[in-house]
Amino acid sequence: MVLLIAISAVAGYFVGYNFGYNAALIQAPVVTTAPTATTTPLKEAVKIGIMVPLSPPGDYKSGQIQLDAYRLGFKWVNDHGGVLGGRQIVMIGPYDDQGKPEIGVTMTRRLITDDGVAAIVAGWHSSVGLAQAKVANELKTPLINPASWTDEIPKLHSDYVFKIAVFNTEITLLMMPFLKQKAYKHIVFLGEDTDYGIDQGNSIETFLKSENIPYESFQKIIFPYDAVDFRSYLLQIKAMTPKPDVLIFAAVYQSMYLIPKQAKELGLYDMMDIIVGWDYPAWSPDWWEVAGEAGIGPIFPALFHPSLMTESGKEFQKAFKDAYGYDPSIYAFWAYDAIRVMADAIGRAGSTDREAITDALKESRYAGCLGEIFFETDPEKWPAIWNQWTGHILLMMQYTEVKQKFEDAKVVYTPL
Amino acid sequence: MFLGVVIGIIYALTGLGLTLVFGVMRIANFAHGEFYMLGGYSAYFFITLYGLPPYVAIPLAMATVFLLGLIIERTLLRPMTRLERPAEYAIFITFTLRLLFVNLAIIIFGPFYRKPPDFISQGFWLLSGNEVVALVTSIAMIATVTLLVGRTRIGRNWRAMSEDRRTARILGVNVNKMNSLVFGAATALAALAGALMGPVYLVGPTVGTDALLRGYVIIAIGGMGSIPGTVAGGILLGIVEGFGSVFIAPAYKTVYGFLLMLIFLIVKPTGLFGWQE
Repeated sequence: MVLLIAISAVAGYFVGYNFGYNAALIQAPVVTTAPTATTTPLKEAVKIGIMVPLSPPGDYKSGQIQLDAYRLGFKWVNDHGGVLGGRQIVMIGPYDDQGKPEIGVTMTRRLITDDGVAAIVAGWHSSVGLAQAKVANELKTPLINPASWTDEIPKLHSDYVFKIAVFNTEITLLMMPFLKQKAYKHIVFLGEDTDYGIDQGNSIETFLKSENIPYESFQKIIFPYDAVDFRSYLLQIKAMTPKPDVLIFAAVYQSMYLIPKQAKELGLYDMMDIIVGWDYPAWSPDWWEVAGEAGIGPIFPALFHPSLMTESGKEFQKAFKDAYGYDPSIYAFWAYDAIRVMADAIGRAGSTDREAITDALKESRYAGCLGEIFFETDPEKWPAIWNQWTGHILLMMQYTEVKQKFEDAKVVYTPL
Repeated sequence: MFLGVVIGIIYALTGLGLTLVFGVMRIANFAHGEFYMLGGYSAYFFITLYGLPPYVAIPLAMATVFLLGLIIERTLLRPMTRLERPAEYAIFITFTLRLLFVNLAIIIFGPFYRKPPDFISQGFWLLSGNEVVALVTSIAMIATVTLLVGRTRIGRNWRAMSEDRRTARILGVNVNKMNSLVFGAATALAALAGALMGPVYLVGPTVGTDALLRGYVIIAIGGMGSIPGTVAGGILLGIVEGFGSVFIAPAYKTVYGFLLMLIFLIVKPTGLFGWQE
């Protein structure tokens, strides 16, 4: 019985941890490992709330990468004098949103009303990011989302929500010149049934028409995000007439590895181009181990190239690799910059007043890892350009040998 | 149809452990998927860290998880038999274990997926070499368990316990020892399934969820506590999922299985080969 209670308590700890009940334990290391000799009492520190997916059904892998980057962001700011005359910024959290919008809502409210944070940096899953954005907007709290791709977040037209990551429409628009160049006639899209997957499919379909891409057919297939056996889908695609020229797939979980693997096993690699919907082959530490030979051939977008990094980007890349043993992804760069942009805004606001920070964010011009970060608002240009950074580039890359480094991959398309 | 049968047999291996535990111990093990996951990780680490060939690593993985199963049965499940509602408490315990194992796996093994090296890189028609190995091993193991249950003393004791525990005890069966063995065997079977499917569906902290769900669907269809039922249930599930994916839509693959289970629960709750007590 004692052992049962102990096991339950440990399991409960993990569940409670995921709900942020141990926020004090989590934030203490950030405070006590601050570079200054004296530990800043919590009441004098500037509190920034952090939420990431750290447990299933959330994408805990990406959440952990984000968290690793956030920690370095906090450290960088505090190493460089903190904010508001030497005050340190401290992480309240990380609260685990578990990839669930309802948890995202609860945790966002808690950060704002209970924890009294000055600002929030959060967002991975699009559905969760949208839910968090709505609460931040309602409670008039500045929030930077460094990763969610859905158009719906900037389309809220919230004064309080700012996005550093690309949005689906932008990615698709950036990809269109490549699709036009390749002159694909028969296109198949295979996407997961999440905001990301569905959004991307819809965006591609919309822009194929509006950008006058001379295609002949476009077929969209949606699959459950937790599927592991894609043979039925892939055999269906293989049997299509006329034969597709290209398969574009949008997947985040296990499926992002299993689709190319199973596509290669079924011979689709010899029949059509395979395009990955996002850039994880560029940076995912498990890509080569999992994909193996199937990693050669698929064309994937890359949202940065090492040659485009600024000095602070190179500094971050080194710090990240030294701390965690693998290269940072684009999302890590954005997460790191999100903390620094927020700290910069707090500094220019001159206080922890949320309205003042929000106004300062709108005027941001921050030298980030991959270029100057500023937030554009131009709904006439596109409805989703609202407090949105649009300084992104997109290259299309392709690995040509197993375990090839990203910087050595073949550049199939570049806008530069 | 062919793919459905093949996948169904592999599914049946996952359900086999569940049905053994349910049949003999009369408890539902909600951590079964996590033993599948631990089997995958064990085999992965034996192969990549120690350089062992798969035909050594996989039995070692089974043995490792078998020992873990013994410990869990002895320390957590056996005390429940003294309580008024042991089956219900076992649900709580195994569900708690599930949360614990998944989160510990994320912390200890990290969030990234792993893939053991392929058993055989050459594919055969629609099957990968790994699936062929999984299929052959599953058939062999199902046959072994069937022989174990039908032709050995341990199996006889298990069958006696599944019919009437009290009488079995009176007749001299060491019920506690048999419980430990059956739970350990069940976890070892789950580990085997996880190790075999690691190269196919990868190894990660949450890979056991799908295995657990399918396992319960299979034993509900086939009949809880029935080994032939588990095999038949697995094959039927594989076929239904296959046909549904081809003739209706692959997006609802999981739904077909649950619908089939629902039909059985309404029309024949004891399943294909189960029995009413």
